Amino acid sequence: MLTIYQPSSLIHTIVALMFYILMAGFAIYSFLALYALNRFGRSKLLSAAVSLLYLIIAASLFAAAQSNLNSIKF
Amino acid sequence: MYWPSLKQHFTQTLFPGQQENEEVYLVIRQHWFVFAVRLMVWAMFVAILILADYFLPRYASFLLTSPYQEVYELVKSLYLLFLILGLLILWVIYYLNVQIVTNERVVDIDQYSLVHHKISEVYLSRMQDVTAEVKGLFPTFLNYGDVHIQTAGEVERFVFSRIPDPTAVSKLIADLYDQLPPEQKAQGQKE
Repeated sequence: MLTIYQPSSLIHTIVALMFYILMAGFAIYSFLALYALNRFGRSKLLSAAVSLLYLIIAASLFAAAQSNLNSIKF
Repeated sequence: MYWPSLKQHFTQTLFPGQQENEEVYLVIRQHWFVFAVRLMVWAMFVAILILADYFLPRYASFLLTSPYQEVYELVKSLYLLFLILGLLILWVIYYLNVQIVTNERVVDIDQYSLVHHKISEVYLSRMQDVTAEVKGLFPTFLNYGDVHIQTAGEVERFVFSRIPDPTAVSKLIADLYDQLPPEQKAQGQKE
C-alpha cells in the first residue's frame, strides 16, 4: 500500500509538486496514446491487451517512483 | 451484457466507410526498418540509463550514498516511466499508419501524432497513374519505398510512404484498375 504524502518542508513540497505535475503530464500523454490506440486501432483485442500491459507496467513504475519520493529525507 | 454490440465491436469493418461487398486486397504498414530506426533512437535513451548504472559506482560513487541515492533513484524511476511512454507512443503511431487497397478504392490512414489523424481515399476509377519509387541505400537493400498515385482532377498526389515492396503494390493497384468495368473507368475520369 502506498504511503500518503505528508509535506514536512517547503523544499519537500516543491519537489512533490514538481513530481505530481510530471505525473499529470505523463497521465495525459498515456491517456491520449491509449485512446488513439483503442479508438483507431484495427484489432480491438490487440489494443486492449497492449493497453492492459502498459497500464500494469506504468502503475508499477509509478508506485516505485512514489516510494522513491517518499524515501527522500529533507 | 449486450452481446450483439460486443460482437459488432470486435468484428467491425477494417476502416470507416467500408462497403459490405468491398473486397480488401492489401493492408500494409510502413516497412519494419522504419520502426526499427525509431526504436534504435529510443534504445539510445535506454543505453543512457544502463551506462549511468555502470559508470556511477566507478566514477561518482558518492551519488549512491544517502542522501543522494534516494534522489538518484527517483530520477531513474521517472526516466524509466517516460521511456515506457515513449515506446508506447512510437508503436501506436507506427501501428495506426495503415494503407488499404480494396477492389474499389485505396485508403490511406495517417496518424501524424497522437492528436492528428487523417484518412484519405481515392477510387480506383479516378486513378490516372501509379508510380513506385525506391530511393536510397537502405530502401534498395531492404526493398521498401513510396507509391505515388496520381488521380484525375487533383494536383496533389496520393502517397503511400515507405511501404514494403512498392513495385508489387503499384502493380496490384494497376491490375485492380484494369479489372474495373470500362464504363466505371470512363465515369471516374469524367468526375
